[in-house]
This record gives sequence, structure tokens and C-alpha cells, in this order.
Amino acid sequence: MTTRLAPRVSLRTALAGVASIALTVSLAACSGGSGGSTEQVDRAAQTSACPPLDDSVDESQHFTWIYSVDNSSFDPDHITTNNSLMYLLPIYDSLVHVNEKGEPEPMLAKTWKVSKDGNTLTMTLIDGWKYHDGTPFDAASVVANIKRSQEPGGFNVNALSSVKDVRALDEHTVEFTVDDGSAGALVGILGGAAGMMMSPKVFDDPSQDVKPTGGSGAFTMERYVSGSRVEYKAVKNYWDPDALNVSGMTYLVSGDDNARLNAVLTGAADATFLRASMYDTAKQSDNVVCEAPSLSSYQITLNTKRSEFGKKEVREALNYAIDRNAVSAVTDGFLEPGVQMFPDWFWAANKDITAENTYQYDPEKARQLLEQAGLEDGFSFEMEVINLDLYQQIAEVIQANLADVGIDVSIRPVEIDALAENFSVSKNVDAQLSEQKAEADPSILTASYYHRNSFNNPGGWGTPEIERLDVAARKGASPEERAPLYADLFDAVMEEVPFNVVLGHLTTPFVMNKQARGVEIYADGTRSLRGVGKTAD
Amino acid sequence: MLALLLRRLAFTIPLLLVVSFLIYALIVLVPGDPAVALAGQNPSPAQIAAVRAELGLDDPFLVQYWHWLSSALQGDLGVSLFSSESVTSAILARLPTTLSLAFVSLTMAAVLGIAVGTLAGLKPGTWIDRVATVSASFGVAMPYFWVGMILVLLLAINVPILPAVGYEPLGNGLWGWLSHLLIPASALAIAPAAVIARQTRAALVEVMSQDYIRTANAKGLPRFRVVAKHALKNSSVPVVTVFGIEANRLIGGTVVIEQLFALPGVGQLAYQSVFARDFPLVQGVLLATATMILLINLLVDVSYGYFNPRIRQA
Amino acid sequence: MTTMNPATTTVARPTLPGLRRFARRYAANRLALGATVVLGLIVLASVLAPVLAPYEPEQIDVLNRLAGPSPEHLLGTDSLGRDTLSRLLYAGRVSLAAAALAVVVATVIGVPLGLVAGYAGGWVDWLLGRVADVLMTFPAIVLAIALIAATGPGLTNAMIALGIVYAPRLFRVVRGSTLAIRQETYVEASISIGTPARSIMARHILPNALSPLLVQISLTLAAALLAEAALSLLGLGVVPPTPSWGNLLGRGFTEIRSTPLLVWFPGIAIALATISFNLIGDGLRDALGREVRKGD
Repeated sequence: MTTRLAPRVSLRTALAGVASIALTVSLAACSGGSGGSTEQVDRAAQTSACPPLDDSVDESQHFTWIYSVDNSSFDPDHITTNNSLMYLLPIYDSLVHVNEKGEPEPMLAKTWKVSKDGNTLTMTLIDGWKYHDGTPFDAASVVANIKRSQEPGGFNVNALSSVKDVRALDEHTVEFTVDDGSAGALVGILGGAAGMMMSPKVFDDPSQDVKPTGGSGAFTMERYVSGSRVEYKAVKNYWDPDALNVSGMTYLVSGDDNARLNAVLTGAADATFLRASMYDTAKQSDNVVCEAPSLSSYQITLNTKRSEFGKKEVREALNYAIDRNAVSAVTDGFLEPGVQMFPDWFWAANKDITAENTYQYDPEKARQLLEQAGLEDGFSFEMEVINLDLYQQIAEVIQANLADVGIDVSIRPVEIDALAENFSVSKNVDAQLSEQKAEADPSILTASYYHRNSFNNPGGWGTPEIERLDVAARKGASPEERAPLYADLFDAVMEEVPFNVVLGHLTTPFVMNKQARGVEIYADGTRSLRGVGKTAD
Repeated sequence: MLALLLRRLAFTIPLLLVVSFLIYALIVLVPGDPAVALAGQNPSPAQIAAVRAELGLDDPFLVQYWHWLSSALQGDLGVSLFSSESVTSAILARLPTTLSLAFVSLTMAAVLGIAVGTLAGLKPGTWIDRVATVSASFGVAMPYFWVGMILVLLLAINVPILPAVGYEPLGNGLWGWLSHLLIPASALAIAPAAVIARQTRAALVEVMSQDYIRTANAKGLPRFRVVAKHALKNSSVPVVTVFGIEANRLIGGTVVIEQLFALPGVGQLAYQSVFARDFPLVQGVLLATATMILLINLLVDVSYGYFNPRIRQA
Repeated sequence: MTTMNPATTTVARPTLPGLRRFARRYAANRLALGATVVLGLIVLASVLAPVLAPYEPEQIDVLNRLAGPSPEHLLGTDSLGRDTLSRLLYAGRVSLAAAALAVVVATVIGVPLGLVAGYAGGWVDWLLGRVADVLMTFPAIVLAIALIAATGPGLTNAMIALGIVYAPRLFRVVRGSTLAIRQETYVEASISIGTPARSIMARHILPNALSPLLVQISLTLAAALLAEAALSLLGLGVVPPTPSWGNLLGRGFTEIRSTPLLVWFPGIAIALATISFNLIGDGLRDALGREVRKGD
């Protein structure tokens, strides 16, 4: 059929049309937002406690949490990043529970004893508990779990590398043997993924990745829509009823920060963590905002076998070329610039190593170092980054900083599952930019980085001396005893210029509605919702 | 009628087969060894060899394709590389969201398009007609994703009456479901509405000038009845055709809109799977999409034949 | 959609009085004329970006991020403190060049194949027609992202993918014209006296297929621009730090609560450009032929 498409429009009509559009545009444009700040936002790490559990909690309520990245597997041995840990915590209990301050507390192990020489850890387990599939929870199953975790290729191999032997002394007693006096540190290690207990009957069942049936914790997983939601249901007759105060939980996933915040603002979710861009909006809303400084860091990890990263001068040059204050500004001050693995308020950090006295922003120095390395014309590499907006922005700051000294970085955004796979397992990536959450005990993290065969060290950077210092730092019964040992370790590490370029550490705020109780912000960045509750509507 | 259906099927099924072959053949375009791309998880030579054996990558390409296709026909589209979830269940879980979005969007497009088109068609040459036609020209060309963003600004941020992003399933309440869909659906509805408006207007103008309409008018029938009973019914044919075309275009739009508005639908799945180079998932989503599109085309062709008897014999 | 109607344009050979008539008719169409002016200005601004832009588009100034308009930054700054105006200008170059590349690819593929199909007829026409059907089954974006899944993101890959996606449209238009013109008596006469096919296509067919082809090219430029914006918005097109209107829009949306201006400008740029291409295409269609049946 025929259609007359563009009719003859008089000049008057056309002008009227354009004018009305222009008017609408200017009205809407001028009425939006604040226009942003032009000054540096300087915030010191703050703390404000989140509402604790109280008697008004109604145990029939359902708690909804919304997070930014999806899970990779529901089998504790198959995860590749501790972001996935959050999804496993409701399903699997560990031998030890590391609380929000980083202190170990009894969990599946109700008491324990460290021998005087630090080589033996004896744990007494709770009795009368079963795995979700009916298998009894006993010492034999604990031994089986530990042995499984030590098999090569698993996520927990590094964490358990000190354990030379593990055996069941009787039905409810397990004995761990190490040979380097680090049994004290082992307690904390068994509070993380390494200590998670799964029913041995389903060890070899590949469907556990998506349908876990062998849990030991307070919840079973009822439904999983990948990239979207996980639904948990409370277990009947849980062994620790004080730690279970809801009838079920839902974890929602949304990579979009606006969507996540919105979910809490509209009531679709009860709580979530915040990033800088969301903080003001959250504070202005009718919700509770609480925050705590964390051990989590943003860092660039390099594969020292690839590109030019094997050269010490190059790694140093990167540290000088990156403007950590600019990165901090992108996060509106929620990132505190830093150069070593832990923030300076943490006991295991070396207080003498700071961003100011170690790697001040100095592009000129960076260029000189590159010249010394024979790279006056610069070089190029590819950096993989998590496919979330904030990381993209940080990556572009890095890109601009490095371009100034002649280094050409191409940014490749990937999904979080792929990030660790590509860098640590397939080892075919030059560098990655990511967030590193801390572990239950500092030795877990240092072991997964600073040994030549560490999971996060695909380039095999390191020296025997550093490895010796790291193992030595596991000894000692208390943080006071171990702190100087860690100081020595980090001195040696920084001397060698490590392959992880730390950008800084984060303060994480949470937002939650007024009904939420008992949400705790863990210092090590674990998103654990153990024990949360809600008051009635 | 049946003959028409069979004729259309005879055309569609080979097309679907060719399309499925091309979808499977995508992996060939990937630089490097497809076994490595499909192994994803572990690059050790032993693991790559295992994947090769398991997926039959040592078999001739056509055999591989046949395995994939025959499994697909039984509903098994393989397993996602990264989430270990079955592709079929991933798609089915997200289908309701996309269907909700498409439904609300097409309804809005149809209502708006037919209304505007009717108004313009009944008064051709007047300023109403001109405004409507120019708006339609603009509407077809507008970047729909940007319109969505502006709607978020105006209706969710400046004046918070609607949620900005996210999705609520229908089970949780009608308003929750609808309010989350209104802005993204509006963004998607603009272009189809414009096209439907144009078609309605053109068809109506042509019909209104027909003799039988003039007869009805001369007989003194109320204008409303004339329009509703004769004119609209007879101009609905081209509109239905356009509807089918626009439904296809809508599917493309859902990829962008779902990602932008954090709606967990098939479009977002398509984007995420491409982004992650998760090939089993990409292939599965593409096959599902192609099937849906060809089905829509088939339905439109058949309904066109139903409305227009002359086509049935064509 | 599954039947193809050849475009029945009146065969208007591009003679001088014809051109003048065309120009007059086109200029009388105010919308198309306005659109041409607007597009011209946009293209000019993009070409002159290095001259007009006050800053380098990649120059960061993070302490000054998300600033509103000021004398130093007329349109404000983005999330890394980069000047929005400069990025907008350079983004124009990228987006327009990308759309052009996609259309060039589509033309290089679609036009010769259309000529061959319309001229040769028979099984060649049937086969090429079916290939076009297969490609046109999918929405453009879906096909583009499918190809990008294999080749990886990047602007060139994305635009070549889009070119392949749009080729069938140009193919069908050229095929239609070719079919119609081929049946004209003077063409039959040329064939019978043994004029080589190439010469016939070049001298008779192509000039007459030009009119509907130009219309389709203009409309395809609009579609390609929109598609590039959508792909870059999703992160599958342009790679940072290169700005394109689509990725400026995407980044702007993240900051929509604090700095909505970042969403307005790139969006308006895309809208003006795509609407202009569309109106120009419509104007060409009106001015070139008295009656045009939709070719697809």
C-alpha cells in the first residue's frame, strides 16, 4: 500500500515542535541532581554499629539480602573466589566461627586445645547433629572433608597446606598435626572455607555445584536462578537455635548498583552493602546506614611470567605511576590508599610501610625506572576487570595514569566467575584488577599469595626466604606474638616488590530497613548473615 | 487454511534447520581451539582432551552438530560453562520476565499506536494528523534506551512514583510487577507504537474512502459505529502484520533494556552469556530466540491468511 | 515479510533537469531540509573536534569529578573528571565513523550480490534470497552480539558484524530494482546484441537502482548509529578509554542520580543524528519517486 510519509510541514509547526522539545529538555535537565562536588572528599574510616538482635525479633520472618555478584558453585571445594563463600555460609557450617571482629568462636567444634609445642590441635565436636542428607556429623566425616580439601586443584589447598595429618581419635574428637608450630593459626583457618563441612556421601556428586544436598548449616537451598536469586529455608531442629532467627532467606543478585539500592529503598530487599555512589541517597532515605572499616583491598595482580612484569623495576614503576589518591577520589573516599596487603590498623600489618613513605605518586620516577629496565618506549598489557561500573572507573584511572608514563593498558571487562578462572587457573591473563577480601586468619591470605606456588600467584613470584618468614609467622598463640613476625614478612615482601599492586583498603557501609536486626559488618569482608532477624512489620 | 499452515511450516522448518546450523557453527569463528573455549575451566592438556572426547569434538563437525541438535530437540541444550546450570532451565527461569516485558510493551504499543493512528486517519490533512505523523517519524528513529533513561529521571528520580530499575514477579503483587515494567516497557513501545500508528492511519484513510463506508454514512449510521464496525475491522489486517514484525524487533530491544533496567530475562541472559563467552549458553539462547521469532512469523503469516482469504489460495 | 515485492520506482535517469526537480522537491520538504542542516552541523562539529575541543578527551582530573557546568567545563565533567564537551565531540567522530563503516560493509556485500541475484535469476537468486531470509530472521542486535560472541568485543568487530547484519536490506533493494529494470525493453535489447553483463549492470541498472539504494543507505545509517550506541552502551562495542556516544550514555546512566546532565547530552546527540538520518531518508524517498512500495 502507499503511504505518504513526510507530509508538508509548515515552518511554524516545525519551529513550534523544536521549541517545545527544547523547553522540556531544559526543564528536566535543570531540575535534576546536585551537579556533583568539585572538592576532594576526605573521609576517615568511620564506624557506626548496626542495630543488634533484641527480643522484638519475629522468628517467622523472611530475610532478603541483595548482592552484586552471582555464585560460582555450591560446593565448597569448587569455588574460585571468596565472593562465593557468602552463598555457602547459610548451607555449610565450619568447625570454627570467626566473628565480625575476627575472633574465633566455637561452631561445629565446641572446644579445642592447642598443644604447647604448637604442633597439635585437638578439637571436640558437637554431638547429635546430622548433615542435611541424614549422614551423621562425626569425626570421621571431618577427616574426610579435610583430606578432600587438600587434594590438588581445590580452593582450600593453600589454606590447609600446613596440615600434615588429620585423624579421628574417637567419634567426636579430631586431631590435627602440623610440623611448624602453627596449630594456633589453624584455628582461624578452620573458620573459613577450609573448615566447611559437607556430607562425604556427596563428595563426588557433580550436581552439588547447583543443588547442594549435603550441608551442615542452618539452611538448605531451595531454589537457584543463576544470576538472579538463591532461596534458603531454615532447617528444623538446628543445633544452635540462637543463631537461627528467621524462617528463610533470599539472596538476590544484581550487578547494577542503582538496582541494588533501589531494592532496599522499595522494600524488595532488607539490606545490602553500599558503594560511594550510593551512600548519600541511602543516608537520605528512611533507612539505617551503618559502616565499618574492613580488611578488603582493591589491587592489581600481575602474572610475573607475562608481559614485562618479571622485571622488578617494572613493578616498582607501576606503583609509582598510579595515583592512589585519584583512585580514592573515584570511590568518594571510601578507599583509603595503601600499599601493603593489610590496612595499617590491623595487627598483622607492618606499621612502618605506608602509602606516603613507600610509593608516593611520582610519574617521573616511574619513567626513570622503566628506562632502567630498558623500556623507554613503554610497553603494553591487557588487564581483566570485573564487569561492574566502579571497577571500570578505577581501571580507567589506572589506564590514564599508566598512559602518562608510556604504558598502554587495554581493559577487558569479564564476569567475576571468569576473573579468577582466567588469571589463577588458566593463567592466560597479564593482569587483573579485583577486590580481595580478607580471610579468617592472615596466614590464609599470605599463603595464597606469597608462596611460589600460591593460587593467586600464577607467575611464581617469590623467594625461599619469604616462604620461610610466612610459615614462621603462623607460630605464636596470640596476635601480639605474631605481629613482629608479620612485620618481618612484609619487609621482605616489599623489598622484592610483590606482584600484587595494592591500591588501598575499603570502608564498607551497609544500608538496611528499620526492621533488620543483628546484621554484622565483618572486618574481613565476609558477608555473613548468621543470626540475623527481623521485627514484625 | 490447513494447506496454508502446512505450506508455511514447510518453509519455516528448513529455515530453522539452517539457522540452527549457523548458530552451532559460530564456534568455528572463535580464534583458537574450540575445545579450549568450551573447556573454560581447566586448560591442562588432560582436561582439554577430556572435553574433546566428552563433546565429541574429534568427530566430524556435522556429527557434532547432529548431537547438539538432537539433544536440543529433546530439550537438552547443554550446561553453562560458568554456572554449571542447565541451559534449558536457565532460559525457562528467565522466560516469564521477558514475556511480561514483551506483553506490557506490545499492549502499550498497540493501544497507543491504534489510538493515535485512528485519530490521524479520521482527520487526514489536519494539524492533528500532521502532529501525529511527525511524532511517528520521530518515534521510529528515537534511541529507545535513552528514552528509558529519561523516563527514569523524570518518573523515578525527580518525582519518585515508579521504581527506577529491577523486577518483581507477578506472584508478589500486581502493582509491584507492573510498576517495575512500566518504564522499560514504554521505552520499548515507542518504535512499534509509531509504526502501528502509521499503518493504522494509512489503512484507515484508504478504507474510509471506500464506497461501502460512504454508503454507511449516507444511510445515516452513527459515525462511531461506522468507524468501529467497518473501518477498524478492515484496517486491522496490515496492523496485525506490522505487529508481527515489531514483535521481532522488540526481542532485539529486550537485550539492551533488560540489561539497563536490571530485569532478569532472556535478553539479559543473552548479553551475559555473550559477554562471558559462555558458548553453550549463547548457542542455546540463540536457538530459543530463533525458534520464537520463526514461530511468531508463522503465526502472523497464518493469521494474515485467515483475515485475507485471497492469500490462502496464493 | 516472506514475499518480496520489487520496488516499482519510475525509472528516473539522473538527467540535469531531473536533478533540479529532485532538489526542488527535496528542499520543499522542511523536515528533511532541517534534518540535513542539523546533520551537517553535527558532522562538521565531529570532524572539527580536535580544533573545537577544549581538552583532550582522555585527560582525567579525578578530584574534579561529576562537576556541573562551569566556565572551565562548559558541559561539566564525568566520573573521572574528563571534560564532557570534549568527549562528546570526539565521541561523534567515533560513532559516525562506526556507522559509516557498518554501512560500507553492508554496501560492499549487499549491492553486488543484489545485482547478481536480480540479473542472473534462477537458482542463484533463490539461494541468495534464502541467505538473506536467514539473516533477516534475527533482530539486528541479536545477530550482532552473536557474531561478537565469537570474535570478541571491539568497535571494528562490532561494525563488521553490523555490516553483515544490514547487508540483506541493501541486497533486497538492489535486487528489486535490478529485477524491474532488467525487464525493460532497452535492457533486453542490449542483452540480445551481446553486451557483457558487467557493462549492462554498470550502465543501465546501477544508475537506476541508485535512488532507492540511497534511501536505504540513509535509513541504514540511522539504524547502524543506533545499534553502535546500544552495543557500546552494553560494553560490547567501543573499548575504553575511547568515547562514543553510546558508552558516554552508559557511563552517564550510572551517575544519573548525581549528574543527570551526563545522560542528556550524548542522548540528544544520538537522537538528533538518528532522527536526521531517518528524515533525510524519508525526504529522499518522497523526492525521488512518485510512488514507492515498501521493498521489504
